[in-house]
Amino acid sequence: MTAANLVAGQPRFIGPDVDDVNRFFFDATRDGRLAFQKCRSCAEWWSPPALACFNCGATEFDVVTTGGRGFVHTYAIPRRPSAALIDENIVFAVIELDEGVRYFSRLMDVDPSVVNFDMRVVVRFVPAETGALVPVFVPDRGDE
Amino acid sequence: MEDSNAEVVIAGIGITEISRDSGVSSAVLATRAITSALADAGLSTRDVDGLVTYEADPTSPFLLAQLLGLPELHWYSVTLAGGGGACATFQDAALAVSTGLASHVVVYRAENMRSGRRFGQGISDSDAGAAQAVLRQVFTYGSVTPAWWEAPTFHRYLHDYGKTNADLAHVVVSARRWAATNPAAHFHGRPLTMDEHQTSKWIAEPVLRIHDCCLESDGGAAFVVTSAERARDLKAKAVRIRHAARGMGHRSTLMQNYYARDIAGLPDLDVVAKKLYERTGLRASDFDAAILYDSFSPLVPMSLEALGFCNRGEGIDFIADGHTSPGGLLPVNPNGGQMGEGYLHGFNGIVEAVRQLRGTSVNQVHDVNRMIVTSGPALPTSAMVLQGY
Repeated sequence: MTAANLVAGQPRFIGPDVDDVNRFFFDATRDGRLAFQKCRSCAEWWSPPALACFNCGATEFDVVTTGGRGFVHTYAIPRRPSAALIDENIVFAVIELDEGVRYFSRLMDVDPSVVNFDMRVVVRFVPAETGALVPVFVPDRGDE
Repeated sequence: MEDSNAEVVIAGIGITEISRDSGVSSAVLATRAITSALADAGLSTRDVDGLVTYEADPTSPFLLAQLLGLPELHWYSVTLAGGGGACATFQDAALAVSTGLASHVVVYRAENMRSGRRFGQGISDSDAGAAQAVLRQVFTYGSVTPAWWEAPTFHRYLHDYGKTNADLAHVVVSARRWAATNPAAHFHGRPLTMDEHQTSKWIAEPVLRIHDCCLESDGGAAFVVTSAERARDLKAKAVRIRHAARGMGHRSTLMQNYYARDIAGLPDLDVVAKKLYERTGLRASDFDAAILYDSFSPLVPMSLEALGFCNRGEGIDFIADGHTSPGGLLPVNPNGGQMGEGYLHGFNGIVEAVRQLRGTSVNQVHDVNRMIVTSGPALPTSAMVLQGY
């Protein structure tokens, strides 16, 4: 990571490598859907991608699309070392979707100083280095 | 170990200078620490038949065997989980000794983590090695340092218990009081005020300032682990390894505990504490002092809570009341810890524990006989109970 990685005005997302474990996730994002695995046996959602349910151990699951809305469960704004920052005004956030499943992401189109716990957010998709679309979240203004 | 055939002890300790630029390679640092630990025990390299380190150490047991001209080795291993593996190395060594697989196992850790690779400057996908698959989602979004990985969890912890970064200043001030009277500490003679803490730069706003993060240091430490019986004929005062445990919590992820039911805890340390207490019959009130892995200030109160020294959410108040400071009920990290003395991935704290139990620390605590020692607690982790004779 060097400062040279920082390209003004263009948000940067590293990777992601797509493989047989997470392909379902990026197949969905390509269609504009935020989808997670949901256990066929106990109906538990899970994230990150896995081959069995963490709750009951069952290996049969469905890939289910969420509504893409949720709230900020926690967040932090990286400041230093500046050489490791790949963008300006990054806000890391753990989003809890309304379905109850969590996802680590970035908040975009928001003044970092107004971010807070329980802030409502909605998903957007942006291209990453490998061409895959990755989910980010923006303040949910209740439209659309 | 507690339920093994032979009682196992730490019979020798060695530590190099902790500096910002050692001027030598990590391998030379390791040999210096090992030679010093053997001299402390009154042993020679000819006596060593086991070598153990943990993940991310740049010098393999095989290279050290070559550099030191060691005889046959009957045991070697590298425990996992980065700093979480610190006490697990003693578990490996103790298992080998107690079962008779090896006689004298040297446990070591040495690296130039200031003049060489600095974790705090950003870790690339390739540096992450086998951990890459677990970390790739956070890498994608640009989260590339341990401080940034852990900050969201720390923020939820502070939020849930009505605290802010200003409250964390108590943790750092306590550490720096200890460091101020330790001549080997980076911050020797330099205590910290609450104001100095609060005006230091943000690493992750509004959670961690630079003073909430451990130092980055060059240095190495090593220990000789053998049976109590053999140690009776050796030079140094032995310290007993009552028990060592390792464990991984349900849904644990490396330094980004975002998916556990309770994001504001340390589920890996919960697992290890339960096992350690089950196997020894001990509880928090049985310890006279503690070495708690403090790569970031919130880990100290969170560890106090996970180990049962206070209730959930009360760790910062426990520290603010002075209990962990010089003269307190439960001295924590009397060497100044990794925020005050230096960062050797947890191993300088273990040296301090042995010195305390021998009665030879520069910041000696009175009447200390039993200590609990932890390793990096925000990932699969390990801990142990050490006891003096």
